[in-house]
Amino acid sequence: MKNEGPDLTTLIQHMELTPQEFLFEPVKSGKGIIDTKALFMDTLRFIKGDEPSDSENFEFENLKLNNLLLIQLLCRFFSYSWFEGKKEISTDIINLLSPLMEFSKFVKAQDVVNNNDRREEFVRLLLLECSMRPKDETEEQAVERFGSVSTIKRKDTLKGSAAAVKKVKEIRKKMAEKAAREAANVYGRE
Amino acid sequence: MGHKDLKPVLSDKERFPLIDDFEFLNRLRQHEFAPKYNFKSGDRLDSVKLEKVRQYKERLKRGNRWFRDFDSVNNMHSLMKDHLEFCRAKVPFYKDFPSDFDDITTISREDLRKAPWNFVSDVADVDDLILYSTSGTTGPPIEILFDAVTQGCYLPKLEYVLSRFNIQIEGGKNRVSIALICHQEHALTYASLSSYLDNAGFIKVNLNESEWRSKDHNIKYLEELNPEILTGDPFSFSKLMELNPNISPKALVSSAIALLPGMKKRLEEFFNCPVIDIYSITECRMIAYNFNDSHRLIRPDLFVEIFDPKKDKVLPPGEFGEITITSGLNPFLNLIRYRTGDYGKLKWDGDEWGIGDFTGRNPVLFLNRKREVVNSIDIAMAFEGFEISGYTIHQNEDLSLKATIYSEKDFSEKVTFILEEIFGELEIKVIQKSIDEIPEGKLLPFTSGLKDF
Repeated sequence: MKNEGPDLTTLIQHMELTPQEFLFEPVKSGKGIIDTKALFMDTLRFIKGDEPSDSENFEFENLKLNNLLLIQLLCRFFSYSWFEGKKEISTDIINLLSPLMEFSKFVKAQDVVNNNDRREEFVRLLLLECSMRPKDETEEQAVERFGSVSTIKRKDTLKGSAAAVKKVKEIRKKMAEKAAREAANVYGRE
Repeated sequence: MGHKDLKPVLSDKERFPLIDDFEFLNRLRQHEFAPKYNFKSGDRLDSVKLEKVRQYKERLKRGNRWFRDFDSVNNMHSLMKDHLEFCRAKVPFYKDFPSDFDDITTISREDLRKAPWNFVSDVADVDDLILYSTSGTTGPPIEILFDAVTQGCYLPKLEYVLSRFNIQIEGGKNRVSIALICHQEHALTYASLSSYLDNAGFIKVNLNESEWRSKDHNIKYLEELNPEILTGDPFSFSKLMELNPNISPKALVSSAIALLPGMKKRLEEFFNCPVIDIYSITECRMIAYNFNDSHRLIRPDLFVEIFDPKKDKVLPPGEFGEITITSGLNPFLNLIRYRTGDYGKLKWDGDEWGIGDFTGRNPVLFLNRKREVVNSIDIAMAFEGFEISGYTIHQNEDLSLKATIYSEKDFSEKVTFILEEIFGELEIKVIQKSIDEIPEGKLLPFTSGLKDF
């Protein structure tokens, strides 16, 4: 995260003031209000300062509702004036679609707008994926603070912990079993 | 669970997945001179596991050159960095450890004792787990987790060491290739086979006469079988020498306690073969073998460092300190900078790296009222089953004993009784202390004011 981005508080506030249209139903199978793909392409245009290339052609049709809503919120995020013309992050924004898909499994789009921690998490995630850190934070601070609000990290830790507890139980059970204690040939003294 | 409580529970087929013909094994067990074997054991190797042991043999052949010069030690260092990365990702105990190997602080026996399961990697298959307990002669007994492959890798290490003396194990059916000789009050004893050694026999025997059907069977059995290699310790080899068996081993391999030069010479003259002193600990098995005035390091998978005994500072070659090991061979016991409680210095002997001025496991001489030798293992085993966190036993020149027990409960009466049983009528003083009073540093369980053995 070499590059310094905008001030965190300002970005969080920007998300808090998200117009309700960004959470209108995305168009899917001919139904809905917001053309998420068109919105995303507009965002790229805003960032790059010119037309997206033909290679930047995305299919959002098969994405789930929450994922599409989060992409709409991504577009809201990058509509902040500071990002206008920042061509260098256009590829990062495209690449953001993948971690955002993962994020969408754990966090509802509505919570990004309404919940303080989820709002901060969303902002930090997007900055992180664009190799940016909030203004006046060091890289270490940015990473550490993201870790403290990250839902995915917390779930991984819990999953890891649950798996670890299960493994310990298995090991201890095995240790108590007589078969383990019969061991195997010991060929020398220790 | 103490050794005396262990009972064999597997079938021979489970003990020897690759062996179908048990005729020789049965002969060893039922031989007219056989001891009263009290246990059964196998190598637990199936074809996949046996192949891993064979691959380790190749690794040993290729890897000993790691210690040709200090640059190679640094090369080893990078392998250990990979091991650290693996442990941080896959071994619970190390998950919050620093990413730089040089920032790693040492760990101790107490870390293993408290939670041995924390050293098991996430990828280890729990079904492969087998369990050993340390003897308790160098500290309170702890449970060490292994698998059959790690245990089986003892044999390639043994072969490697023997090859340095131009000795080879022939192995094969109907031959006993290795005999582990014990001499103590009680020991687990068994006859077994080794699929790695092409179904050769392996026996673990206790010279104590009470373990045999007749007084001279201990000699006759060994004379009949004439094992290729004897393993044991200076006590048991000394007793064997006393029994004067007519056997012709290719080598004696001594470990557990230091083999002093005088005893080594006597054994070599008596048995007319090399007597090799091995530095080996239960936690990681073989580390080094004695060659001239050094203990040469054996393994490319084991990283040996010397640390300041009092603080976490690694010492350069030539400086004396505590031997500390790093090893990932055993998926059930991943070690990084584990303090062994033994001491020495890293030295280059002109051809290989080794441990000089090795100080560890020095034999402690105890005598009972009749001035007969008492093996410290027998004392350690007598304390099994007691919830004692630590103890020290010291014998004075006048044979009187002083024992200090560190435990939550008061064991002074029981310990007095045990010591009287072992030593006979001697002056015995037992002091009971709480576990909070355990002194810092390694608690040496056995010390003696008598002349060294």
